[in-house]
Amino acid sequence: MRLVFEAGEEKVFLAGKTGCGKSTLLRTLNGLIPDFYGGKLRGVVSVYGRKGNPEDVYLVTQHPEEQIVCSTVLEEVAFSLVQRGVEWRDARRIAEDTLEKVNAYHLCERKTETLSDGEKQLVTVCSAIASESRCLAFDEPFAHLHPDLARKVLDILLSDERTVVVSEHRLGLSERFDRVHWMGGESAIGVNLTKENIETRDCLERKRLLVRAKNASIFRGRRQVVEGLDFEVFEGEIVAVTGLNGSGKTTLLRAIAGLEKSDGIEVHGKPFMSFQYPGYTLNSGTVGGEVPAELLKTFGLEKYADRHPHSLSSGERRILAALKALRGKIVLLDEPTAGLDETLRIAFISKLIRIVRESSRCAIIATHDSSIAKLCDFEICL
Amino acid sequence: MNFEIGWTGGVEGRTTVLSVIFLTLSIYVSSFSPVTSAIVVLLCVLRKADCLNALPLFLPFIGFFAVSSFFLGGLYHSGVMTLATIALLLSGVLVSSLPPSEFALSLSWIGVPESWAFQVALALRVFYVLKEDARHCFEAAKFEGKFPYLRAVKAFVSVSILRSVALAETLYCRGYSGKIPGVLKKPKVADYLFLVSSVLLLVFSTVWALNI
Ligand SMILES: Nc1ncnc2c1ncn2[C@@H]1O[C@H](COP(=O)(O)OP(=O)(O)OP(=O)(O)O)[C@@H](O)[C@H]1O
Ligand SMILES: [Mg+2]
Repeated sequence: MRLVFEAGEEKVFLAGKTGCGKSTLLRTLNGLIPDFYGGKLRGVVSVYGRKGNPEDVYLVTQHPEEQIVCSTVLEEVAFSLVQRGVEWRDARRIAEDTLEKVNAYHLCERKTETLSDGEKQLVTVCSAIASESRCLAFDEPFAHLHPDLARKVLDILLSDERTVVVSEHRLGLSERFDRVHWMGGESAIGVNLTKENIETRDCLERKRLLVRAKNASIFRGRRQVVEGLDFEVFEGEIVAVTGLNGSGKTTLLRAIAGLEKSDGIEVHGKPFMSFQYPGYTLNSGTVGGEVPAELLKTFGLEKYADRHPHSLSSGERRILAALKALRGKIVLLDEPTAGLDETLRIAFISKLIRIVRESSRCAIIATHDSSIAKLCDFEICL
Repeated sequence: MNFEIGWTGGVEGRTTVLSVIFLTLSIYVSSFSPVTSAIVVLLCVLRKADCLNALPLFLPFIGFFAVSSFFLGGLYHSGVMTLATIALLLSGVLVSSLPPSEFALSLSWIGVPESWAFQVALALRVFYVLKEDARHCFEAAKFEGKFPYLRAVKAFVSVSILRSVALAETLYCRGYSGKIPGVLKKPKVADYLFLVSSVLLLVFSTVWALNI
């Protein structure tokens, strides 16, 4: 594959199917491959006339949690500058300015381990913007960000005079880039999935009540995150939970699953939650041990049945974790579609919705994706 | 009860690190004298009342220590050793109330090489990441019927392997060169007072130990 950047201010959008090798390409830019991981590289990767290196190319990889090395947000954003020998006072000022630009100044003094996943992602993107590298590369930087915030971050990236390479699945964002680079390559997953037609049901068919929140308030540690929340979910219903980053979507799901302290939430039925990071949910030795064979087949995963679940790509792991949640009567999914390409995510969710309906379970889906929220019966906006 | 042992940053780094070293030394120099231990406990409690919160976490450990030293040396011995253990633990807890970066900077200030000191701060960060990971793995396994504990451990092993690879990758990506971000705070009066009392305690216990 060949990809040529013109020097200077080009903004490149990398598009392609889930699992087509975008991450691998980005890793060659900063020399992670082959310097760090080894492996064979045929052809030439040349970055500003040198081989790929982390000084010229600042790469932000997929999982925000893994990008964070400091204990407070400010130190985290200033980290790369300090490594380059910038005085702490200057580094701090730049970090504060960067956070200010994305309206995240209030996060400055927060401990990194108490951020929501979207906030963590925002912090990693800010660290990249604050760094001094000539080229910024992002692997799905918006997957956990609220669309408004994503747009804001994009504005900043596009007005930056450095080279920016973004790999993303939300094609809607690609219009404003100088160049869109399509990567070929098919992933096996979901080839036989197509979008299902699902109509919203009328209320007459409603059956058993599964979850009810009445003036509910939910706590995270000692802090009250959500208050005055009212909703009811019946068998066969699909609900979307939307809201800004840090508004308490994950916290709400955790409360329904009984993992977080809450007042005023009744749950009738067995909940099963699939977390925002899929690794936690996958704890069998093989993919086949996680999810029954026919379900794997429906989603095109059957040939992985003997592999270890953690050896799959991150999109595949996410789908697998979501499917595993079907073991419960109340299916709780936290961002099941982050990192999946557009056609796949709609096909996947509509299929999932159909299964949930037919088996009279209910599903509560926390998501930033409005097209997913539209497929649901109703939306809880936090 | 609240088992949080997270740092709050209420105390200053350099004086705290020095004081803790002096306090620990005094306990050893005075060969675990109950008077010294009691003074250390008192100082720690005065310094930061909520470090007592963490004590319940160590109860099993303290209990084990008390019982084993009872069988080794009788009631008096057991009491003395338990008190000394509590004192050592409390002064350790005092260090854990420092922000990791400040702790690392203080270490490098007293002469530990900067990259080693950063490793300490990083280890603390990794500790929190892994603690959260472990918690999530256990929570996820709770939803499953059979062998939740075993499953949680399995998931945790896989996750922590992935995490450690990712951490190395991140340090590479971010151009890590061993410098610690952050600045040292200025000590306040209370910090100096604490330092002075720990020095005094060390001096007295040394003199006392030499006289015997
Ligand atoms: N472990 C934690 N300890 C304390 N506070 C936390 C913790 N995790 C999250 N929070 C805080 O609780 C609030 C709600 O977090 P939550 O994870 O529910 O947000 P969210 O809506 O899921 O956001 P996102 O879209 O970014 O995933 C946020 O302000 C967050 O900073
Ligand atoms: Mg969330």
